[in-house]
Amino acid sequence: MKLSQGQVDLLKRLTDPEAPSRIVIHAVVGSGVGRVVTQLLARDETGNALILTGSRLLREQWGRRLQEEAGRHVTELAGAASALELIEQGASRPGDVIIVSFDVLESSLTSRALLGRHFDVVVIDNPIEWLGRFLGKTLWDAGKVIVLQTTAVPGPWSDWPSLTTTVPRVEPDPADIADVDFSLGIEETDLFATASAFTMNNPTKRWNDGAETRPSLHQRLLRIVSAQSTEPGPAVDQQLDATTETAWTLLDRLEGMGPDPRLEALDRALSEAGRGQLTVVTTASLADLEYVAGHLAEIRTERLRIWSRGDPLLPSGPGVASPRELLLATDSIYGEVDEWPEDVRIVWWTRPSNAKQVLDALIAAAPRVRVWRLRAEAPD
Amino acid sequence: MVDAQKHEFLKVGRLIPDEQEIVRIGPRTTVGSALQLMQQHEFDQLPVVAGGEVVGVFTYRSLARGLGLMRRQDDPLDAEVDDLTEDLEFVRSSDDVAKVLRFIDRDGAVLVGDETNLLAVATSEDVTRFLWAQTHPFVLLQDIELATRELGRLACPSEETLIECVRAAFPPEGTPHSCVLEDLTLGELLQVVENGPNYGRHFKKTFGNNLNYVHATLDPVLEIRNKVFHFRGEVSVEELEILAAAHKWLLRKITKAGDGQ
Repeated sequence: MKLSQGQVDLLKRLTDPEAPSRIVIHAVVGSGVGRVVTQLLARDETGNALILTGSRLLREQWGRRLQEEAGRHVTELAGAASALELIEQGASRPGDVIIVSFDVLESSLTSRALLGRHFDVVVIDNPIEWLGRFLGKTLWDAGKVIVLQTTAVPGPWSDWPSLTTTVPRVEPDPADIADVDFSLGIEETDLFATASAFTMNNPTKRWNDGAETRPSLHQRLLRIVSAQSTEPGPAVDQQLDATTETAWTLLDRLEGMGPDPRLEALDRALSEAGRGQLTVVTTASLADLEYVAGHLAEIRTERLRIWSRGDPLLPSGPGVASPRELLLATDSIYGEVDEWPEDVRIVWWTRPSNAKQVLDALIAAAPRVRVWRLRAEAPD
Repeated sequence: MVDAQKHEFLKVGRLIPDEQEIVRIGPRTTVGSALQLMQQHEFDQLPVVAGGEVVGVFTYRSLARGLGLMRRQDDPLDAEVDDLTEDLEFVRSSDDVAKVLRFIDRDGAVLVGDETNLLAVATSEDVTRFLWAQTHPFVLLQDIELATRELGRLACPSEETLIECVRAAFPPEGTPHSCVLEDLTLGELLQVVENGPNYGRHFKKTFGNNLNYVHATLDPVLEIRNKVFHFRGEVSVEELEILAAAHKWLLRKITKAGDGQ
């Protein structure tokens, strides 16, 4: 993918021999700084690198990008087995990249796998506070350390020279985001309030936010009742029995509800969106996706295609290049696909609690799309 | 050329829990202190290290063996572990599990690394946990398939109706070779159940009024099933939860269908 002028300028500043060896890049989501760092690491002279990321998904994303775009040999430290493998391999080969997510950094085997290794470049993608204390020597020994920050977090990097990227975020035209409103009934609002309190406080499985769609709530309640069967352990006690009973009661109420107004809004949104070069419905979870797919299969005439990682956005091959196709994907598509066609219409089956995050990812991936966003209105 | 490192063969490293911490003790540690540590961490063995080198392993079995050699008047809890250790085999994390299984079977555990560089301990409990994690998705998938079939059967008044449902769910050129439920793949079975007219007439009686929840709960299982049976990488925690959820949901539907009859 071609870099924008702002990204090229940033790459020049990072590769300038006079550039400081410790640098913090303040960048907003959507500025494409990750791509600039990938291009930096694609250069042979960069040497061995360590990338530290906040989550498993980001770790995999960096891994794919560095292999595909930078041609690097990547080792993802994902737990004991990969740490032991790395320890047994001994010294790194020139140009190796190790990627670790913060959650496994605390494991003693991961620490041992990193111990004594020299890194020419260390990249920290949105650090958290304890990381500085934890990394200590690795940071000081590294040839170059680049910290990417969207929000300032204190750490050893607090005093380092910083660079506020000049790569602008491409803001969507507000006119390109249309809200498609729908009303929730009193019964549904009451059920969701009760269920949210229950799912956020139950002893077997805990969530920090409320479920906001019928399929996501359905899936959560089922995960509560099945939590005991995913791990070997002692039989459920009385408290868990009561929890299970409550979950089944809520599930029965949910399954017994009438037509889902959100689905009706989805149909309206699709009708308003019409057909672009590509029309996509995105949802927060797999359960939402299958729920929506099942509904659309009943009422739509065009071909439905569920997108999986690695699939092309547009159909290709003989006989499938038909504009009568509707693509369905989870919101993860925005972190996976970098190049979007010109005329994209997105119908967004939203989950309000992560809407901001998804919108950021959406803008970063496909800034010039038109979006129809489902929006719930509380009952009067 | 095949890059063996890219393939997930069954190596000892895969048995080791990610969160494993090794608790080492010195040879002068008393039996009482060692037992306390073992209880506290729920370990069955503690490597004994002197001068940075593993000199033995203190285990419940080594203690039991050593007790017979102690003088009656001595309190075993005050004895030092030095004379109460046994030797466990050292293996590499890249060794095949099959090769080291006999040592784990014999001693209850093996040490990963070498005398001067102990990296991990692989125990029989780790083997059990690993095998459970590997087989659990298969067991859940089997139950899900059987339960879906059973609910399909319970929803139809006769075998003939069931065959009609199978025929109705596929275009004439795409009808499966056999219309017997046992011969259908899970994908075909779901296609029969989720067929709108079929569902409205029959299957809603056992799967519930809302077809969309069948899609939301069972359709994700298909992709996981393909992953499991085509060995496309490890099943994630998230995927295992999806299987367990579908499994519970179907079992309850069966119970309810049974109660209703």
